[in-house]
Amino acid sequence: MSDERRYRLAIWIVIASETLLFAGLFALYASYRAEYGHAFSEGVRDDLQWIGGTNTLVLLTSSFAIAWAVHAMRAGRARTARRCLELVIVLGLAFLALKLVEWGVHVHDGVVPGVAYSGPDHGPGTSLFFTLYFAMTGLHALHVVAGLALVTWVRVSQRPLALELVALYWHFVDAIWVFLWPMFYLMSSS
Amino acid sequence: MSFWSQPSGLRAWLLTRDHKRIGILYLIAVLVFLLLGGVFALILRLSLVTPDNALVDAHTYDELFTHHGIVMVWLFMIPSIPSALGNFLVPLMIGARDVAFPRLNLASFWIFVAGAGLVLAALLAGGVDTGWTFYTPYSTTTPTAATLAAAGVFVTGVSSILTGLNFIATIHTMRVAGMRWRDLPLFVWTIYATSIILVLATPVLGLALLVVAADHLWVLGLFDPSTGGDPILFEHLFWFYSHPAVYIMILPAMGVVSEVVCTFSHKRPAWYGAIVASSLGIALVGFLTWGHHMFVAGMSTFDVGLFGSLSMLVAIFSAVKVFTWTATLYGGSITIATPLLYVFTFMFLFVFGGMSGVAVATSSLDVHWHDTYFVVAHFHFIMVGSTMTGFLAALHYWFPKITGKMYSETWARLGCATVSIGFVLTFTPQFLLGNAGMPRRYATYPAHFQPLHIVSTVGACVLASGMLLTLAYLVYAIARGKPAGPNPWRSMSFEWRSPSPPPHENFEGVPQWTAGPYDYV
Repeated sequence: MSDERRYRLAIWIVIASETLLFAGLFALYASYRAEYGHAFSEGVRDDLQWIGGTNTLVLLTSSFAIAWAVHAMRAGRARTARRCLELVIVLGLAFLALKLVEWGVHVHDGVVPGVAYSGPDHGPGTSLFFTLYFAMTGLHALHVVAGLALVTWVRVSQRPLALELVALYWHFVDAIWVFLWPMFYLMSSS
Repeated sequence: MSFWSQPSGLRAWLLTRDHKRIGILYLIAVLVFLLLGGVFALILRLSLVTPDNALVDAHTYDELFTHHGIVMVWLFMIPSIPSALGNFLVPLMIGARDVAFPRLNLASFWIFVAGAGLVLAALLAGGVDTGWTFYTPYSTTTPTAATLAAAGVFVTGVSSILTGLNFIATIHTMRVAGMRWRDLPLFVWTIYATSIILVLATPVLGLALLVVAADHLWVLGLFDPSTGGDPILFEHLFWFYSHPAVYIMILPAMGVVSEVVCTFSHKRPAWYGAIVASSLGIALVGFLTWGHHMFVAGMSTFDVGLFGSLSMLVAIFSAVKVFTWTATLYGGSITIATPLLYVFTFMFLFVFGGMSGVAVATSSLDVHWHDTYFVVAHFHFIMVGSTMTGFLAALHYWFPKITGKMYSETWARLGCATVSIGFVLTFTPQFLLGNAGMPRRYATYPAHFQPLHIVSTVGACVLASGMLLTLAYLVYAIARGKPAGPNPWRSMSFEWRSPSPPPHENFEGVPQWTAGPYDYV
């Protein structure tokens, strides 16, 4: 019994720790947005809204699929659980593919992080917005990759406890995106 | 057969999942880094004997204090008590077979070694000259190996987080049947509080250092005023970790003091609940005081007042500890021995350093003392002095537990006196220097500061000889010391109820919870 408890505790500690990792970047975003509201809200218009929106839909659906997998596993329907996990993997890969397309379009337009930025100029703070955009979506994408590795692992091992814990982690990665979406695709009026 | 010899072989040591062996591996590593950081400090002190610095040039001086800081903070003090002694002791103190995740524990040790390796590589690849604080925009533009050093510290941070996670899970789920939270030894409570800080503060530092490393590599300008960036934001992120980090260092030392005080006065702690509450209180309030490092960096008067007041709150929790320790000693049947002598030094340094902490938290005074030797003296008293004397008290207190041998009490008392005198002699003059206007991080100084600098350097040499003496008699005791017996201090705490040194399985048979750790009669 204590075995299961310690793993549950551990995953929540990991999630708390990861939250603080992102919190640093969220704090930077908040500070710079407060200072350069105009550049930030104009910068949001330069991101590809349809990709941001589609990716939100993709990730939310994947969260639903992994929740369904946990539910199915508990009910003893291992086959359904496996199908759901495969769907999660497909959706995760689709998310990453769309993200890569968007980054590619950005780089093509000269929208790159740092002082090399040569995209549209929205006044002071423009390059900060896009540096944060790349840093935050990049760090998030790394977490999607890690999450996909874990999902693949539970698809293979099919351990119910591991599935539950990985599902929690996947929801967390999803929840981070739920904040990134408005910050980089929706909040365009200052 | 003790854990030292069973199972045998080098491979069994390097790939061990035994928390005791991992604790020993950490102990060896942190002692090596203590020696390295100490050598840097000695060169710094020796080069400050003359006002024009005849020993090293200004750039080398910058690198030396940076290396001293990085090595001492991240490779010695952070892991010293929690990772080395905590690993060894926490499972024994709660009657557990091992930590909750033994494999993760081993991984976290090797991640620490990898991170330390990166830091050492940075030192060898030309060194770093940013100061241990990596302040931007200098850290992102310096030609020195800042990227490598920041990456190394980031990796040791991952190790810290995993260690913290392991301790929290262990303390929650592995206690011997019958041991309630209110039966938990005070040292374990402080490791618990420390672990919370490790898990929640370290990621913020990790992020800040990742950004600095990336910025240095790809010129992001995230904290560079020329792109609209704000260097002060980096300082906020940095101190959000690095102030609580002070409590990562000192909370376990406080736990050691609580254990030693109870054992050597053969008495219950005067007010167990208050000691526990103050540990958790320090961990909590410690998250809300980081701004006091930045009073003169550009901060609104309201924030300055707020951070100053919150910082003073820590002094109240600390005072609760000092009063409960003295109240525990009062009326106890006290045995004077080296661990207790170190505790007395701890209390002196802690009270003195703590009071000067309240002084520097007072914003009007801080404007005068900021970036002077006064601050250097303050944090060496409270952070270094207290952590180091706590560490040495722990080493002497649990030495018979770990090795089964006893060191020479005479030599140990001499060592304790030398270390204590050396420490006070090194840093007291620095209070005076700082107050008189000597800025920190300068390779040269006006001639009228020389006498105090010489006293400080003499103190550093005394301190170093005390440390070397301690190392010598402890190593001698491992080889030739008399058998200590299972419980030489007649402590009630759980770790002493197994043989010393403990067997591979920690306890012979299933441990039974019969009496609390402080149930002295």
